[in-house]
Amino acid sequence: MKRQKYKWKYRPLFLLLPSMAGFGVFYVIPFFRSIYYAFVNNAFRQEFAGLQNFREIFGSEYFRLALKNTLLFTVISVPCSLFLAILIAAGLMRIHPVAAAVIQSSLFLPVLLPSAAVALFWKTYLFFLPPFVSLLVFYFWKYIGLYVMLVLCGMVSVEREILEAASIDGADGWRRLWQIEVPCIRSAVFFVGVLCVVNAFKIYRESFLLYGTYPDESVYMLQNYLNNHFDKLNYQYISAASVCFTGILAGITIYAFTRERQADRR
Amino acid sequence: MKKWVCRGVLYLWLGSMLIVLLFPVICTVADGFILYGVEGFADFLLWDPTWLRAFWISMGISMGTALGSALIAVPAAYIFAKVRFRGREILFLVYVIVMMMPFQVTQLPHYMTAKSFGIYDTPWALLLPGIFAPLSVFLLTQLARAIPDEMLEAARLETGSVWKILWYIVCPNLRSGIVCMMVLQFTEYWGMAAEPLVLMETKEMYPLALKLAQTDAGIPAVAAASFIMLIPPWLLYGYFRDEIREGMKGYHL
Repeated sequence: MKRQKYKWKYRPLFLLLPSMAGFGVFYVIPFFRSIYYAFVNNAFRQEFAGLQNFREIFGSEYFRLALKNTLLFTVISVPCSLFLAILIAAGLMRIHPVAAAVIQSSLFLPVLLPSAAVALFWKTYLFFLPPFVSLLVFYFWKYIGLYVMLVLCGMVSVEREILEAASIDGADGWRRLWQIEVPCIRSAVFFVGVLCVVNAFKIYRESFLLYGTYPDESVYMLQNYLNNHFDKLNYQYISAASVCFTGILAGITIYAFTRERQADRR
Repeated sequence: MKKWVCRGVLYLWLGSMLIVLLFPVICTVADGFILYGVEGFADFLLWDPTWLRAFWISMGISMGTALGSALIAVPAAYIFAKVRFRGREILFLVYVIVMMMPFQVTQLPHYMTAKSFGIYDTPWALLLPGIFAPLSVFLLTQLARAIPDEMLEAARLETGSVWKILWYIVCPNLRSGIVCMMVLQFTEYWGMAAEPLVLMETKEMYPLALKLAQTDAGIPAVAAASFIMLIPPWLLYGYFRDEIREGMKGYHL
């Protein structure tokens, strides 16, 4: 009883201060400032404009093109990369452990390598691909190793008895994978799915490296829209678009987070 | 017989994925090293000093971010994982949300902060937000949850100093996590291109990745620079492969 009391008496919360101070100054407070800009008519006059900015961006042809392209990219890339990652991870589980370790660590290499360094390869050897496909390939190249690693972390922890029971009941490899293993690791798969969405939104870096700030119409993404308005100093439009963007991503993240916490409690 | 066929198909599948993923890397290395070898390296090292300068600017920013975020994140991770307080989950959720944001959403806030602090157009504009980037706190917190409570409890009975607990209990337990996080931070800032474009103006101060993206130098120099850019992350991964694999286990919600 005495120990229990001791445990919560001393709470060195001051250790959190440096991190929170910097995080607040560089991330949180500026973000609220940008929300403010979303509701004023421009950065210099700063008169309240209500939803005017939102109406304007959704009325803009380029914003809708950007939204369409970004959504299309997400819808195509997320299921494909999940499927690929599960297939690769399942393959790695079924071969000799040494070979699996070698292959897996080689697959992870592109995650750490800078995209800027291989952009030259894309420009010189893959120029014949349509920009959209080229970007998709770049996305898979860059992130599939990360997804494989995370899926694999989950698969390793699936209990062997369950798999053996499934084999005895006559499930072959393919059915065992989709009906036993994948459902067992669904929380890992779900998190990888969230990461897929987030990284699909981050594909702008690769797009910028390949096509600069004014790319082909088929790869004109939301981020290009934001960037080009940034260059024109239209802060109110960037802020309004950022608020929409943040809303979507924060919604997905909060859903994933609470879901995971509830699963823990059960 | 059927087993051999299955195994063959598996190896074929994994081998083909391996080749596809490594092909760009191999080509980049081959281009930089063999195709344009001497000419490119001469450009990079001798004739154009701006390349080397960009290299060291990149190196400084990446190293600074990695070291700084370790200093900031270890105490924060300990508190988030092991000390209960009101609003802990909400606060942590804010870190996670910010971690998920792409840079374009935060570029305007970053730009305004950099302007108002007078660090716009200096490497500090990249370095300071990097040190406080939420990824490091997130990863270390998830790993610190695995430190046994009994161990911390015993240490608390032995010593009243929270610094000793951090140094002798938390740091050794998080070793591979800290290494993994530092490598991730390093490579993230080593490869960034869009951020300096917004936060810097002077072309001479551009880090290597952006210089590479915007250069008008000839192909040999670009090929050599691409090759040289691959080396630091590659070495880090080579040295710390096990730590990274261990540390990535914390990368979940």
